[in-house]
Amino acid sequence: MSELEKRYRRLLALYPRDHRERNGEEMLAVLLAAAGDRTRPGWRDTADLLWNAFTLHLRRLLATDRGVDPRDVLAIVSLLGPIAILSEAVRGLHELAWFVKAGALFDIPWLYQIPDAPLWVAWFAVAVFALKRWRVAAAVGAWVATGGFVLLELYAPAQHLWTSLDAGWVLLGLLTAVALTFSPGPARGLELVRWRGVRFMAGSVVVLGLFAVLGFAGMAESWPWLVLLSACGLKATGGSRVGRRAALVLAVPLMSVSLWNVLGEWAFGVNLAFFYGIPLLVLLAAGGLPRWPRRRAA
Amino acid sequence: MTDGALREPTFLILTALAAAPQHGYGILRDVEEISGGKVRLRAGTLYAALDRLSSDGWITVDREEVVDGRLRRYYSLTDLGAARLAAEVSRLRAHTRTAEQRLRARLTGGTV
Repeated sequence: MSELEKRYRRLLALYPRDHRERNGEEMLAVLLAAAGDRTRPGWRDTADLLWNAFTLHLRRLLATDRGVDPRDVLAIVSLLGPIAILSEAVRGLHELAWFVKAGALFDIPWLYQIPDAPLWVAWFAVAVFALKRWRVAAAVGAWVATGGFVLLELYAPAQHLWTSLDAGWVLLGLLTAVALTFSPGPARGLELVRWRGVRFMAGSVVVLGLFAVLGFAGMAESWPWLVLLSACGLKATGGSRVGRRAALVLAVPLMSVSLWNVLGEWAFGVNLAFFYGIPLLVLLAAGGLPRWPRRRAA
Repeated sequence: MTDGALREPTFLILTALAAAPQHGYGILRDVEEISGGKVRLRAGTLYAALDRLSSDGWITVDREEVVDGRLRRYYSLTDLGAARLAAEVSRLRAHTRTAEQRLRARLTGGTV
């Protein structure tokens, strides 16, 4: 291999992997054919390769290259979203564990201590329906359970900060309901992540949940715990471009907690703009959500 | 299919493929010839454009060959790409015709 070829190969290594695998050898052949008697890449070729490698990476990052179908992203969310949401049930389970340990299971003041219990039962049912690919039942359950978040905000605002710190769970619930209603649904999601992804996500929620139940309830709001949960989401969704974007949607609770650590608490309207608006913008920019309605074929 | 004007490199690549399939290096040389040496595409720009045109469905891979141990892939224009190129040619022709009429009017000192 000539020195020129080695140098071109080094430059081509900067391209996105899929582009390199598809076009790399052919580009190398064209570069060598056009090089004439040159022994090193010219500065124009070098600048051209660097610039185009950068723009191709950028197009992939922003998903403007049509390599990511947002409907597939939402299909994965429709399958794994309900499971991921159950992570937030650990605070209630932690309370429950405390009363069990104290031998006072039947003395729990449910409405005061665990007012969100029905919500988690509903999300558990949604998760089961989604796994059974009963899409309509799961979608109805998800909308009802998401509405439950709003009711909790109105009638039991002390338990959660649904408009700021905990906004990510509401947003994830809303996106899951949207995904169950409008995407190809859990059946398509299962084709993409397989049962292995489902088992990994469910296992991660159970293990991380146990830590929070046996540890302290606030762990579920802590940054490291949510980072771990989001990392598990990334692993469960398979690491493909579609999978990574689905994992980003599942990481919305991490986004809201991160934002809360930086921005703190604001008035109601500002909270909504920060803790719902910013994650939605991030998801739109990264291609995790459809940016415009799908055009019908002519 | 968009209705906006094609960028010059895109127009020239589609033109290079209009008559017959060509491989990457052939397109580079042809684009240079069509443009009278004014446009010299480089490999990075060419393959980014081929990737985009391919995902738009305007071009497709016609065949692959191995020549001197190197992959040579031939690209061809699809019907969709040919229609887009034809639309662009009509658009440019209309503009050219108008420009010619205005220039003639200017030379004869008349009004349009």
